[in-house]
Amino acid sequence: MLWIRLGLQELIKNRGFALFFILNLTLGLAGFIAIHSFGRSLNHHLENNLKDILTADMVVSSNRALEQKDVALINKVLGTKKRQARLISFYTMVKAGQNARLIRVMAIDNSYPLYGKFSLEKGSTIKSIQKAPGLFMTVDTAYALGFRDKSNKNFPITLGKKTFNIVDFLVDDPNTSLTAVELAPKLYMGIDQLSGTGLIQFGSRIRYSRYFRFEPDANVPVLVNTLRQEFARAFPGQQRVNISDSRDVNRRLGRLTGYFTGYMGLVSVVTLFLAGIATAYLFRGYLNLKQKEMAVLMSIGARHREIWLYLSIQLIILGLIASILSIIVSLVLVPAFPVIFQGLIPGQVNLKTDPATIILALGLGTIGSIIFCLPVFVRLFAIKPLMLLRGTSASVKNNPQLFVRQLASIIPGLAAFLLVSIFAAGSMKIGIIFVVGFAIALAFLSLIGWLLLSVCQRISHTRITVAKIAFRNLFRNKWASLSCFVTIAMGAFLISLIPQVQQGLQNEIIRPEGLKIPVFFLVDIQDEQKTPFIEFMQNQEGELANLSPMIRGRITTKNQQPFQKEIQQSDDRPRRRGGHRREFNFSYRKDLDVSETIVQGDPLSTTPWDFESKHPFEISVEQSFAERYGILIGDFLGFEIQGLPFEGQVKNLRKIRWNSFQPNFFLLFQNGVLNDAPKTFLAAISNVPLLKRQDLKNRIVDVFPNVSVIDVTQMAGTLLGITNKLSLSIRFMAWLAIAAGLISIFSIARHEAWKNENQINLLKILGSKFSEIQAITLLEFGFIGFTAALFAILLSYAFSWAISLYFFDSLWQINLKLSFLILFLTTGVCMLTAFTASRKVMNSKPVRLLENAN
Amino acid sequence: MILELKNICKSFHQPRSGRIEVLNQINFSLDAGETTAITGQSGSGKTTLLSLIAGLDNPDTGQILLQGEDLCSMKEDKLSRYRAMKIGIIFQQFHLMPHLSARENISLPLEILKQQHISDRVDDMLINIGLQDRQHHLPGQLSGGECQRVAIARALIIKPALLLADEPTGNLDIKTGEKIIRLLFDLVKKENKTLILVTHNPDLASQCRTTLKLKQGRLTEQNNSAQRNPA
Repeated sequence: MLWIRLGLQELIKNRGFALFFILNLTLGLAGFIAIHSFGRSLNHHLENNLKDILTADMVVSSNRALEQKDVALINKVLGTKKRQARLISFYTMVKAGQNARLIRVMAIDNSYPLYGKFSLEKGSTIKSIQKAPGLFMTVDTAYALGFRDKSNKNFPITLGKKTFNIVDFLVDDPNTSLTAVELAPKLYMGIDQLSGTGLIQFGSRIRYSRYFRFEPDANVPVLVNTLRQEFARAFPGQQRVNISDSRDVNRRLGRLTGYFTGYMGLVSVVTLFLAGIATAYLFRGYLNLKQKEMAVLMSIGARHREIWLYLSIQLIILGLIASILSIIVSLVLVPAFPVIFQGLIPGQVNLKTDPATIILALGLGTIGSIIFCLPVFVRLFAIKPLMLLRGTSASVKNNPQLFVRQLASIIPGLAAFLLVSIFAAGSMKIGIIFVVGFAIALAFLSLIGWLLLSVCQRISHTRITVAKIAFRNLFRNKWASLSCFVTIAMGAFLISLIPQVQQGLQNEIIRPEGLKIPVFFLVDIQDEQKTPFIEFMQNQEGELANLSPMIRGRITTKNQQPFQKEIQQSDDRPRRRGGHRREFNFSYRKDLDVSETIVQGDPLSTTPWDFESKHPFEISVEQSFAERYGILIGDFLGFEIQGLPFEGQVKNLRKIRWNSFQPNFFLLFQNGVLNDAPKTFLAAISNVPLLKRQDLKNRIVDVFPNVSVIDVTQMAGTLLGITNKLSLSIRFMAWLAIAAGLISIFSIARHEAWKNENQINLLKILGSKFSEIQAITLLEFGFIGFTAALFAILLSYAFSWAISLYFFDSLWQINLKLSFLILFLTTGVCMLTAFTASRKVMNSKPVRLLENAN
Repeated sequence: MILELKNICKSFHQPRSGRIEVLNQINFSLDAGETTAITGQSGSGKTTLLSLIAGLDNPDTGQILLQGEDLCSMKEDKLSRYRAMKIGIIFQQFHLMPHLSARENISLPLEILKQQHISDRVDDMLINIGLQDRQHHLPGQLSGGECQRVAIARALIIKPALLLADEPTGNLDIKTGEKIIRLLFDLVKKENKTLILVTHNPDLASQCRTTLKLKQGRLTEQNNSAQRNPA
């Protein structure tokens, strides 16, 4: 009790230290806890709703109608104790009145969904859309199609060659509990009503799915594996169907949510670490001030472990208060996430700060504080009552044993930092890279600081008194100046790093300069529609561009080895754009699009390939695709297109700006190879005046009902909206880190300024002018702040470049505006704090010098 | 015999001037109730000798026996408690805990040693030093003399076998210094304590029964004079 009482009394007396300690830690913890709560709530929701999201235990799907032999195999493996439902889904243009827009059509049978249910306003049954051409959709979808009056029962909607009516409005769609990030809104129709629409043609991207629900005791993962093995055995070398269960949904959702929580988690670790640095620094200063008192306590019988207890109690109390405050702050922050992520996460997620998060917060606040301050604690061993007689202070520098102990005491902090980073990033590799990068930054900035302080020694040989005193102070107090420099630099480095990476992410999404962004992107133009479509477009306002053939096929071999192996291996590699694919789209073109650049190898030959040629044809492969499947220039790839075998050789690797919205392909073949293969076309239309866009869309749908028109501007708007939301969340976290960083810098500068109190008083007694003393203080802190921020920003450029390259595969661009802001803010905060603190000292009587001496 | 120093040597390493011998073959002993002054010029090793006697530092060679127990062979943890129970130290700069009141500062050693009847003992001590009416004041609110009285009380409250004082009047004016010394000697006599006092002041030294003069690391003079207690 004695040590608790003494600790509390000490904290009450040192309110300034306690306040800054709590403020720093609260800010650092709040971001971390909020992100953790958010991640846990989201995962909890998804785990509990996996089957409802999938609407079944297992889904077997294919981009062609399942044949009798497929169905027979499925029934053989899955047995009879199951219920099943059928779904055919595809994107198509839907016309209602004067509106035409891309819609995702979900043609269902009576059994759909197997889990969850349709919640319809009038309680209609699925049978009602099977026997007559009727539709279910949300009011929002109907509104997008031009529907305004709910009482109007006759609102014709044209799908291909058939007209439908809205039967009922969906209140709760079993399939929308996942996410609203979709290419187009959905509508449901009866599977029996598909006939007569003329929408299912060759080359149309249609997904045929069979949903299965088993008895509660069924072992779904075993069934899934068995079915996959049976398909592989019955149809070797073919990927006839895709089989998935709730684990796949979980993985898919994990990737989706991992994107937000992973990045923001790392930002929150940065915030937490900044707070950790600042609190450790504050505690170090506090301990330095308290050395004498510790020595007094020891001289009257207190043992080292009691002094440990006495200080630990203070840290635990401060950490506890900061944890409680951070939980309160996170309670405010967490409800903000659905607003920030609106449209990206399920709307009905119950976001809350659960007991596990509260325990984590308390653990991080209390034990985390002690771990972070452990290197400072080790200094306690250097405190001896002898100091009281000799008037010296504790130092570990002259004590090799203590120096080793102090170095060793950094290990728990680093280990904790590593664990928290891995936990926040959700990946051991990223967590380790993050911590190693951090250690490199620390070492680099320490070295720079050391060199700079040596430079100070040279600068101090000047006749200008102010500069002489200021720079002499810096290098004579080398250890204190260095720790101040490194702490401020690390803070500025982290503050600068986050916006730099963010800039890279934004550049990835924002369209690059010089590209002509189309208004519409057209899919599924049939081969026989090519010429009529070109003629049609000649009479319209708008420019048809990039009419690109698309042929589907499989890659069978790579250098005479089965390509299936590459596909399986690619599962273990980091996921890149394009994801995991079994079938691929191929194309050919005379010239590369402006969105494409050859990064390795030579352009493809323009001479048409001769089928009689003994040489393989030339192939151009997209860079990330090549990386994913380990394809190199000169590799031979075997293909199967429309049942025919082909072999080609990789001539070059291309980089594609996918956000150009132009038709682009992973693999381009030499002219002449695919010219006669059955194909569909993709195209882009640009230069359509705003007011004419809907009209042109309607006309395309009228004349070519099977062609899907994706409104790129609308898509770009949606993407931009998502980007803005992500940017908002990233910026939100970045500013939280900046706020924590600036408070840290303020705390450090304030502490350093107060440390100079005696010197300021002495200069006053010796007759220095106020302005000179202020100039010395400003120069010292300005120099430390400016150089620390400058080198930190330069280092952040190097790190953000590496991060952008490695993690985001994106462009890297310096955010100069923000760099200057950070440079001046850091310098300003250091100078202003020092100025404020020194002014306070300056206005006090120099008698403090005598009091302090006593 | 309460304290005995045998062949004590102590040297320090200085980066530029190499090894400096501060104490060389120091031998002396004290009986219970004796008062001894250690004098010498600045840098003669007075404070070093005091720190060795207090068990705050270890000699290079030799033995320091307090009530028969060798301080040099004790481990730090045991020494810390032993020192707290057997030795009271009065510093020149008082070294009071700034956030504790006068009363709390006095009671602190008893609380650390988990002793009984703390309140009564502190009350008695406050009467002895004449600070009953100032007992709830913080050190910042007390004068230098009052602070030193609190420091003396804190050193005596544990009833130590040996009382060490390092220039106890060094931070006080002459008049206050005299009062403090009178108080210190009164209490030492009343409690029959052994006192070692480090001082520059010959008058103050002469009030002790014995004066030991340190010169170039050696006790060059051992002066046994009649005790002139100011009381």
